Amino acid sequence: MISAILALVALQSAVPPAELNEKTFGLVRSHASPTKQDLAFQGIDWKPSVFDGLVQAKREDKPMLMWMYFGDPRGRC
Amino acid sequence: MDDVSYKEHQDKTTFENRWLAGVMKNDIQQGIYVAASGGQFLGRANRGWPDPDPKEILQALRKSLSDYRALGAQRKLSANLDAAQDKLKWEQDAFKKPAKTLDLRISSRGYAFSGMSAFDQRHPMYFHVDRLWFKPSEWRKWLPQNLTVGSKTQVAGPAKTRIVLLSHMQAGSSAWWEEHIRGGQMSSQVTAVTGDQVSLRISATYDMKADSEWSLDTYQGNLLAFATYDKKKDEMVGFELAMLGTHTVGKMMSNLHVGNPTQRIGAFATINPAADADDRMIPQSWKWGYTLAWGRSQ
Repeated sequence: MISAILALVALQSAVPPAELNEKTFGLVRSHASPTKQDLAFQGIDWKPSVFDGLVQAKREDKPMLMWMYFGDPRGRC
Repeated sequence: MDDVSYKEHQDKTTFENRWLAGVMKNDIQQGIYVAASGGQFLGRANRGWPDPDPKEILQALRKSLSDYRALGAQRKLSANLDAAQDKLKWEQDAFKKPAKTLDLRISSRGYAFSGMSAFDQRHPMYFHVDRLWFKPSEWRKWLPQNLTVGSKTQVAGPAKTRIVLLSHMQAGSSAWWEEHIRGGQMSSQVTAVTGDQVSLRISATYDMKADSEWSLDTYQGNLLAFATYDKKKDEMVGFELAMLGTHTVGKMMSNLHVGNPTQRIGAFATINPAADADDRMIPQSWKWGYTLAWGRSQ
């Protein structure tokens, strides 16, 4: 938890390099790349459709968690 | 799942759409919900705005789980589903990745700006991730005619423009068209040849200004990439790309933006680490940015 908070603080206070070149390439890569915590949601076996979720929910006798979002979580709104 | 796609799907008779409309009482809206396959709505799980409230979310999920258990046998869908007749058909099912497509995962994150808050997706606490695809006829533009050290080529077309026209270098999406690219160029140079492997250094500059009813944004930035082309495999076997630039929101929207309209932002792309059989993600702009026809040829 503490390391996650420190990582977030570091991201929010990072200063961009003056320019992009071979020396600063790694700094931009580090800042723009998703962290392990950013990608934690991928640890869930999300199904791409209601139908696929229904099939599994019925088979395993479990409730469905439905994440509905205009477009997809990558853009639009 | 795209709530608007479900809501606007023309096929209202297929079981999948009828089930969802029933659970949501014909009011399909974006959000995070819990439901039983038997058709019972069990609650909404997204709590807190703009910052999610984990305690309230957990409490809501526990309540939904408890309600699910209390439903008894009716909680399980009684019908046996058949994908051929019960599953909706989607236009994107026909969108295919051509063989030997360079499949990149691209992410971007802004740097701190004055007046920022979690309300605005430009805040550095948020990252943006997508797929960026180049089919062979596109990534070959990075290969100089002679694959010898020092050979150089100027690059035009999607290999240069897709990354900015699809807003990969910023937070969120803006409406960018070809004519909004006011200046800049891209070149690719062979820096080393080792056996079948050709190392490339790709660099570019971008000067953009949108001028439409949907966007008045500007962007000035630089791109630097290091690629490895394998002559024997005829594939890009290594690829790392970084972008650093300044994005300015031309028209601040009260429901999207807060603080300084100008922000420095970085982007990074690498060969998609999740490109296997389980990777269901296609580029977000597959329909308008790529088109179905794009996937029908190399």
